[in-house]
Amino acid sequence: MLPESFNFMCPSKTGSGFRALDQLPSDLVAINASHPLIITDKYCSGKYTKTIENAFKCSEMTLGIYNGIKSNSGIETVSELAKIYNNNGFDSIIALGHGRIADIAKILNIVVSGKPDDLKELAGVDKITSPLKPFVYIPVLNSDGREATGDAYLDDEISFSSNFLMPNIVCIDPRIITEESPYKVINSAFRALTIASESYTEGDNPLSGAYEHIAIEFVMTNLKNVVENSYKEKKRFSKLNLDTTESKERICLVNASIMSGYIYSNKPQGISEKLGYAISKKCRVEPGIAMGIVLPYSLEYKANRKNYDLEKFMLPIAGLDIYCSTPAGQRFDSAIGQIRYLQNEFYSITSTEVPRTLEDAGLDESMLSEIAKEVACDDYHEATCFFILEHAFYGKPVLP
Amino acid sequence: MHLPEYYEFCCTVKTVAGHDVLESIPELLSKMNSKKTMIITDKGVELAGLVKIVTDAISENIEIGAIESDVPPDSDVRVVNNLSKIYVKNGCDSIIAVGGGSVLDTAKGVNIIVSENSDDLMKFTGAGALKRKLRPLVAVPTTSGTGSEVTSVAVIADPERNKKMAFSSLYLLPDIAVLDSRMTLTLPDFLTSQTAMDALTHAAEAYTCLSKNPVSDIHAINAIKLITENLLNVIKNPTDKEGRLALATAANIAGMSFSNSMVGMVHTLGHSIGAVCHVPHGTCMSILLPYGLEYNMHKTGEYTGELLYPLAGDKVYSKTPKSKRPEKAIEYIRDLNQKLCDATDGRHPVCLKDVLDRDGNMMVPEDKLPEIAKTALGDGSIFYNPEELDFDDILKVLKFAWSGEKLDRSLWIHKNSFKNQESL
Repeated sequence: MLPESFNFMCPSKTGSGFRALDQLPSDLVAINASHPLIITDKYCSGKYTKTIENAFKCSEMTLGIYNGIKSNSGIETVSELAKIYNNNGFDSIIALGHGRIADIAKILNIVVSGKPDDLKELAGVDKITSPLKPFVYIPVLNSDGREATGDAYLDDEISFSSNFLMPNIVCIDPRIITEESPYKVINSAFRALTIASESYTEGDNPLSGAYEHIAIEFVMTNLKNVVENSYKEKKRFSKLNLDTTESKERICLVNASIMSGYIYSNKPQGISEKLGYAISKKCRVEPGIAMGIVLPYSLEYKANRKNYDLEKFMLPIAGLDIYCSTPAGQRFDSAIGQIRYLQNEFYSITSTEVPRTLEDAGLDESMLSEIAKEVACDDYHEATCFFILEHAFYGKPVLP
Repeated sequence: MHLPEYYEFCCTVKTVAGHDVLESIPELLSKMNSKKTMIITDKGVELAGLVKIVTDAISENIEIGAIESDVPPDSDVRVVNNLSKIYVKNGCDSIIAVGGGSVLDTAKGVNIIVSENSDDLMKFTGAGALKRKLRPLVAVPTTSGTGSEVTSVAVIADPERNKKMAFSSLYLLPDIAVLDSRMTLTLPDFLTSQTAMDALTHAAEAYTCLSKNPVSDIHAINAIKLITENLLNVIKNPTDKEGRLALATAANIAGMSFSNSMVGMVHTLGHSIGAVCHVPHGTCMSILLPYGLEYNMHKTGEYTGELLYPLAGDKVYSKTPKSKRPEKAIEYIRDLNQKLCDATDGRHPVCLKDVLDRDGNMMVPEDKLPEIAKTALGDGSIFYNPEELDFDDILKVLKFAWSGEKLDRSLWIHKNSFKNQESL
């Protein structure tokens, strides 16, 4: 049955696949942009800006490129970029890369769309009330989806959240989606899997259902192959030969991350996501990996202790044919089993670099109660959070 | 899941759905800096009391500058110009469109004129003529079929030039679509069935035609599931609020699906029957859908077979061998049409010869079929159909749809295998 009320919005146009970048000039014209500034870091500019310049060759547009983003870039970089943007008559922003690059690009967009001294006043949730300049995001393989959300972080104290910060266009091109460390790929994919799975199993919102389904199915179908391929010795990556299965598998993972960003912008954080962030602050494990560890246990808690009927979860996890041929009573356990199977495989493939449990991750058991206290909320009290964490620590399934 | 080499997906509309969500309109409009709104609707919607439900829901912060119900069944440029003047004269800064496809198309036309500060709608015809965001537009659909609250096109007639003008731009997408179950509670049974089958056809064609993509696929599957699980119940219990909301949601996501993947021959033929014989669009869709799927089966049978899951459920799907699923899916659609025909005392016809006007006259005489086939050849959707169609192909399909007999696919086996060999 549908909920009493539900809603969804995704203001971004997604273009994904073969020569996607070639569509970008006409897409920019359609939103009245003709002089974009590309914002990126040295690594991405060295590898990818030539491809982007080539895609714009036949257009009459001139591109600006700023490749000075660093992991600690902050307000000084935004100010420097604002001067460059205004002095050179740019009218739109393209962020190329992941994480910090997108944060700085979004904050620059707030500045160049209004008055620079407004910035602090616009911090917080929904303080931006009108559309900003055209903003395009070009993801790389380890983009974790946060780039496609309406969130932007300047530092620990100042952050922004508004749908107006979401990209107008997300352009996923296989020429930009090339090799990356398996750990980073798994981190991004597990983050996408967690956000999509928690949303898919929380309510029955048909408006977001497609994005949740696709993100889950794309991670489950493609992640293992992408990780295994990246381990093959001196494998010739298919960035020159774009029409390959490997290229499509990587594209699917980036689609999953981007869709998790769209989902994230429409829902409150789930318990696994919150726990994942809290855990990553206490031990050397990335948030997405930590979310992935907790996910099976929090879903089991939902199904077995809160009595949610989650048999449908198997549909995106295993695909239509396997879902239909599995008896309803076995579906949820089987779906969770498939996630655990994947995690155990990664533990082995990565020579234990990707942990299966919180104990593997090196978390001190004494931290569990502290994390539980920090994350506790109305839906998940401290005792419940501790219960889920304890099971994830030992890898012990939550039974009915 | 099918992943095309390249795909695009875009629906910037915020959809708000529920049983009492009209009340959220003032807040949503305020967030878009609107203070005075204009309601555009039609006489039928007004007489059904639906406008009052909307105006009652709009209380705080938003003033209603005008309520205009002068929208004809086919949007008309004269009405658009007239309504634009009223919008400006009353100092409105946003529009709420309450109604079906023509009301929304009219509202989109008005929004172009008032946002661009122009007096000539013709300047903005064709794709890509609009370059910037228009004024706030809220769509409140009163039928569950067209999905036009999430589509980026508008068709507006110009009677002086005897032409229909097409407008296409992402800026034509409404800002907000409000699906409130109260808006469709009084929709008569035969209109409920026609419009729902229109939505089901959007979904089925989106899933089986050439521009399918992952997002449109899952929206299509979910839309079909919502329709098959709720439509007959709603026909039997028109005040079933949950069922009404499910149908409105299905039409919405089917709209997102087809507008991002295009439709095929069911729409090609349907548009032409509508143009030549003035048969309601939903009626054409429900009759033609099984024939479109049958005609394309040798190319897209695998996808049609997958539709058996949302049409019949997981048990029937798993019990049916893969090779039999396409035919079984089509059988389910025919069966649904027959049940709807029975439940509406024949007002949901299952073949073209049974489509009657208000006086009981046949609306599609058999001798009109060649004219319909000729018209169909000029319809843009023909290019997105998986299998090619020429005049003879269309006429043959129409003859089967006219009599209600299943399509005899053996008539095409030789030709299609020839075409396949050619493409190899």
